[in-house]
Amino acid sequence: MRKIIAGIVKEFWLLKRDIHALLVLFVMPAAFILIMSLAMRDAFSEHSNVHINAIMVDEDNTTASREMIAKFSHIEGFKWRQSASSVLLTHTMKKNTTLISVVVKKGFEKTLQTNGDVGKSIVVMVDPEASPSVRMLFESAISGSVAKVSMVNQMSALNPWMTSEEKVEAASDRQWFQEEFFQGEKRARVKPTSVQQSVPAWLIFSMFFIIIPISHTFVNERRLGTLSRLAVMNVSITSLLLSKFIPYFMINQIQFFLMLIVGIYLVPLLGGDALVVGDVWGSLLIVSMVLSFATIAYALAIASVVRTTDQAVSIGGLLNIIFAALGGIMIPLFVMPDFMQNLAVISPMSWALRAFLELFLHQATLRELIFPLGGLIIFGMLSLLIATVRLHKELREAQ
Amino acid sequence: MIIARNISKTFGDKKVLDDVSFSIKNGSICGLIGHNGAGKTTLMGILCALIRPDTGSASIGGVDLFSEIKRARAFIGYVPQKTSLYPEMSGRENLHYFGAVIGLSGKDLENSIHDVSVVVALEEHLDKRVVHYSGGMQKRLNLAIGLLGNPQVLYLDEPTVGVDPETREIILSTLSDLAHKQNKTILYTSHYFEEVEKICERLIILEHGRVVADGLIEELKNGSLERYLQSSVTR
Repeated sequence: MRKIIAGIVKEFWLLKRDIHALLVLFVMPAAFILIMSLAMRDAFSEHSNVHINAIMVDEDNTTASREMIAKFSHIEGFKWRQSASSVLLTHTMKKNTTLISVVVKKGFEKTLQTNGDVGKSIVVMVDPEASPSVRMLFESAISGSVAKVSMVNQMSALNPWMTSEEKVEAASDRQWFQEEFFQGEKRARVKPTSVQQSVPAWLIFSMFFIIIPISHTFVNERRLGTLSRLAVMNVSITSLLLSKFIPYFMINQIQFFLMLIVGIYLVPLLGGDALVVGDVWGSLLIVSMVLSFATIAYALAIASVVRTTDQAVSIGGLLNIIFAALGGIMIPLFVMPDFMQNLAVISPMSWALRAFLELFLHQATLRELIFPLGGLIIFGMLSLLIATVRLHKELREAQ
Repeated sequence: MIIARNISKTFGDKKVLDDVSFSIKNGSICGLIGHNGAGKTTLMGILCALIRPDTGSASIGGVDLFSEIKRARAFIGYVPQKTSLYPEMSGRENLHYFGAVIGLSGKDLENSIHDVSVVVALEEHLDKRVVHYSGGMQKRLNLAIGLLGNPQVLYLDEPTVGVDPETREIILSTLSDLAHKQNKTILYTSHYFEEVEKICERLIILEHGRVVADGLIEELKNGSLERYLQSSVTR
């Protein structure tokens, strides 16, 4: 036990002098969490501040067409501007400042009153550069508005005694369904936010970067023959590995709590959403501990197979970035195409992210996290096996 | 104190040690010399119980090295050829860590750190980081770590490689004092015969894994040692 405590103290001595590693372990993830939470806030927000420029033209200039234009202007997600004529509209679209527009053509009111095909009086103009998703969103919003106006018109034709209040009520933007976010059995309403994605994502990323301080010490111990010296001093491989595991496990847990604090308190100070943890603190801690086991074992495995610290940093760093890119750390998995989402399963970072997101968004139980946590434990055990076998071999070959 | 009996070791199809036997008595310094590939480092590894021999046995202080590894190793202070230190830590922190590893604590640890740093003349530099030490100072700290806990047996694997003449003198006189004043048993490997001649009474010459000479230096001077030195010159 005394040997292990001495090893732990030694690792902390070394770590406190490794400024670069401390920056990577603590400053990098905090900065990423702040930047990415704020950058992606609108992508997760219900009241998005992202607005797409859109122009509307009223060629009919009648009461009905003005009502129609007023209805369009309430469609969310677009920054509406009214143009005086189609000629001006064409000019604006040619300059590429607007990708999407709608024209209420002359004769709209007449078509409406005669119950004609209203659709022929509305023209949507789309620049080919507009993305298909924006086009679909725009067209479905326009269809909804036109359908509503048309429906009110037909109702008043069938019911001439319909009061103006009833017409307003019929034409109002009513929500036709109740939106709930699935939260597992407890169903507490936790609104999905960018910070729920970015805190676990960058926490996982930084925990994997524990490879930098571990490999720096471990590779030097191998290279300088310190491991052999320690073996002659009766330090067993188990003591050696434990004296590395324990301090870096503590560092990982400090990272975990600090990054949660950043998400809960710092991000909202800068205008982002606060991280809502709910009552899953215990489960979060267990996920963090399992992840820590996997990352430290992985770092020891890499550090035990390379020859130099430069190799450890470049190979470990490269693998980390590939794991992060594949695992939904850098880009959320839900925006990836299906085959990329399927490919994510090879990244241990994706297992950890899934476990954290299941807790944040669905308040999952630990039993529901058996696959991601089991994957991390198996990954950690295999890594540990590699490190142990290599260490045994190394000590035999050291002489 | 140190007894090796019929030790053989083969790596792959190469026989590195072939029936090596010798003994070193208490309070003496024994030099172990041999060309590169002669088997010195493997023999040192076996005597540290880092490598298990194919055949043969060894004991230290009467304790069998391979059946009671931990007890036998407790006699050993090992000074490897490489400076096996933590360069980012200070000399004191290095001594503190390795001292704690061998089981020293509190006053005993502090006293041991003081004693060994005086022996290697580093007491004024202990709070500097090792990365700022000269090569010679690093070698002296490397030796000091081997002396922690006052071990009865010292293994030194070419401790003077790459050091300045002044440091070499400090190391050699330290070893001589340790053997003669503190009754330590020292096994010393070196490429430099003049070093071995200076501090060792006894010499073992290894060639191709076999002991070709074992005796007092004066006795060997006109026979095996001459041939060894001759072959060193022609290499």
